[in-house]
Amino acid sequence: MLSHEPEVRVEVQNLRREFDSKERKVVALNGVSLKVREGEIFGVLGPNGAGKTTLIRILSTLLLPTSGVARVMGFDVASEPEKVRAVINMASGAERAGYDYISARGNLWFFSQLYGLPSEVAKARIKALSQLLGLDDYLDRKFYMLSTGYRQRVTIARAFINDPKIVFLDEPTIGLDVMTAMSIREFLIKEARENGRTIFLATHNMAEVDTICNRVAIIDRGRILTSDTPTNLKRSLGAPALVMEVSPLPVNLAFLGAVEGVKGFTTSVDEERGLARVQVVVESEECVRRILAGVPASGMRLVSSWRQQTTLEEVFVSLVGRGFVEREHEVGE
Amino acid sequence: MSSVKTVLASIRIGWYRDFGWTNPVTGFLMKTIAPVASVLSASIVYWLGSSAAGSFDPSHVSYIIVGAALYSHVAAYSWVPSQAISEGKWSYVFPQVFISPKSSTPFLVGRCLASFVTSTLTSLISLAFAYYVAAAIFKSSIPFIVTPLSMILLLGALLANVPATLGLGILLAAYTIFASKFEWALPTYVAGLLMVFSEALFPVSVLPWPLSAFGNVLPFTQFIRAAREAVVYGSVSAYSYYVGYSLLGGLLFLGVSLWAYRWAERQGRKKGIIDRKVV
Ligand SMILES: Nc1ncnc2c1ncn2[C@@H]1O[C@H](COP(=O)(O)OP(=O)(O)O)[C@@H](O)[C@H]1O
Ligand SMILES: [Mg+2]
Repeated sequence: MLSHEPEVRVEVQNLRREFDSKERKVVALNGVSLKVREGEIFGVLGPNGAGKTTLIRILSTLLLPTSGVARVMGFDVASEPEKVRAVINMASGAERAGYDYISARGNLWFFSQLYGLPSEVAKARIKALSQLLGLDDYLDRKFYMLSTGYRQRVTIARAFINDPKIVFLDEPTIGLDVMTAMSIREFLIKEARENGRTIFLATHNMAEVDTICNRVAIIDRGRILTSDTPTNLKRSLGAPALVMEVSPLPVNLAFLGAVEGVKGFTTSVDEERGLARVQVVVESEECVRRILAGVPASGMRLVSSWRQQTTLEEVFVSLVGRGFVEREHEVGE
Repeated sequence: MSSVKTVLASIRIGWYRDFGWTNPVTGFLMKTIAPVASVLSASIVYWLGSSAAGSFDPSHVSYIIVGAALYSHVAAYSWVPSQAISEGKWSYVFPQVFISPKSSTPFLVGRCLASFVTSTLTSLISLAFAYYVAAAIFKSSIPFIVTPLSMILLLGALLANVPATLGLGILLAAYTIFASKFEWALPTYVAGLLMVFSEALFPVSVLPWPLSAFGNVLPFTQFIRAAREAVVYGSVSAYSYYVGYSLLGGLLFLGVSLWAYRWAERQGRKKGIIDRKVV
C-alpha cells in the first residue's frame, strides 16, 4: 500500500487541438481536463474519431496543443519536451516501431540506448521484460519474422525499457488474439501495481477498460463526458439495460425517443436471422413496461427480450444517446 | 546523459540496418557496385571523347576518377538522414526516436556517420579499382600518388568534409519532415547537383557566372580539390588551404542546417506531421 497521497503525474487543463483539413477545421480536442496519479491505469474510452490518439500525441510530445496546458510530472509538454521525454514512453498498437531486418533483441537494445542505459542494465531489463511478456524464445528472430502478436509484445516491452514513470498506450491490444491481449493486460496490471507506474491507456475496447482500468474518462467528439471508476459509472445507471430482439427489418425505432425514461439506445442488425437487437438504457422498471408495450404499437414483433448487467457501453449510450458504432457513422457523415 | 550514446547506438543500428538483410559480404559488395560503375563510366566517357578528338591526357583521367568517386561518396551518405526519417515514419521508428530524451538529431548524425564509414570504404575501393582498370584499358600510366602520406591526406580530406556532408544531410532531413513526396528521388537530385557544382568532372570555372561562383564557395568543391592535391598533384600547401576551407565552411553550413532542422521539428510538432506520412 502507498503510505502517501499518490502524486499527480499527468495534469491536463482545458486542452484544445484543431486541425486544418482541406474543407474545414476539425476540432479534435475541445477543452479536455483531467488528472492522473501514480500507480493508476487510466483509460480514455471513446469511439473512433473521439480524440484519443490526439490526446496521446500531445502528452507524448509528438504534437503541440492549439491551446490549454498539459503537464507531465509537472513539466509542460509544449515548452519543456525534453524533461517530459526523460520520464515517459509510448506505444501505439497500430504501429510496428522496429527495424525489420534487425532482431527483436537488437531493436530493444537500440531503444534502450536512446535512454542512455548502461549496457548491463539494458541487457538485464531486456531479459526481465521478455520473461514477463513471454518473449524469451523470440528475441533473436528478426522483427519482420515475428507474428503480429509477438511484434506487439516487443512493442510493449520497448515502451517499458527506460523504466518510465508514465507509459502512454494507444490501443495496445487492437487486432490481437485473445491470449496475447490477456497476457499484455496482466503485464500492465503488474507494472502499475508493483512499480507504481502510471499507465495512460487510450482504447475503444470497453471490456479492456472494465477489466484493467482503475479509472476511466469517457471521451466523445473531443470532450470528456465523465470520469470515474468503471464500477461507479456502471452503478450510476440504476436499472439494468433492456435488450430486445425485434423484427421485421428494417425496424423503425423512432418511438423510443418519445418514451419517458429512455436514456439512449444502440442497435445492431442480425441480417441472417432477419431481426434487430436493440439495447436500451432505461431509468426505471416503469420505463421498460412502456417500451415493451410500444413495440407492437409501432408495427414490429418482439421476438425476445431480457435484462442485462450494465456495461460501459450502456454508460456511453446513456451519456450520448447512441452507441459507439452509430456515433462513428454520424461522425463520418 | 550525453548524446554520444545515442550517436553510437545509431551508428550501430545503421550498420545492422544496411547489412542485416543479407550477409555482410554480399551487402558490402552490393554497395560497392554503384560507385565503381559510376567512376568507371565517367572515365571511359572521357577516354572515348578525348581519343576521338585526339587530345587524350592521362592526368585528366586521374582528375575524373577522384572527382567521380568523391562526389558520389558525398551523395551516398548525405542522403541517409532524410532516408532515416522517411523510412522511420513508415516503421514508426522515427516518432519513437523523436520522443526520446535526446530526440532525433543525434540519431540522424549517427545514421549518417555509419553510412560515412561504409561509403568511405566503397569509394576507396572504387578509386583503386578504377585506377587499375583505366590504366589497363587506356594502356597508359595514370598519374596517381600512392604513399603513406598521400593516403593520410586523402583520409584527412574525407574526414574534414564530414561536417559539410552532415550539414547537407540534416538540411535534406528538415525537408523530409514536411514532405515524403520525392524523397526517394533526393539522392539523384543531390548527386546531379554535386556533379555539376562541386568540380567533380570539370572545373567550375567553365560554368557561367554566377553558377561558377556558387560552385566555387561550396565546401564540397574544396573537398574534392583537397583530395586531388593529396593523390594527384601533391601540393601540401594547396591541400591545407582546401582542407581548412572545406572544414570551416562545412562547420558553418552544419550550424545553419541544425538551426533549420530545429525549426522544421517545431513546425512538425505544430502541424502534427512528426508521426504522419504526408504526401
Ligand atoms: N492530421 C489531421 N488532420 C485533420 N484531422 C485530423 C488529423 N488528425 C486527427 N484528425 C481528426 O481529429 C479527430 C480525432 O482523431 P483521433 O485523435 O485520431 O481520434 P481517436 O484516436 O479517438 O480515434 C478525428 O475527427 C480525426 O479525423
Ligand atoms: Mg486512435
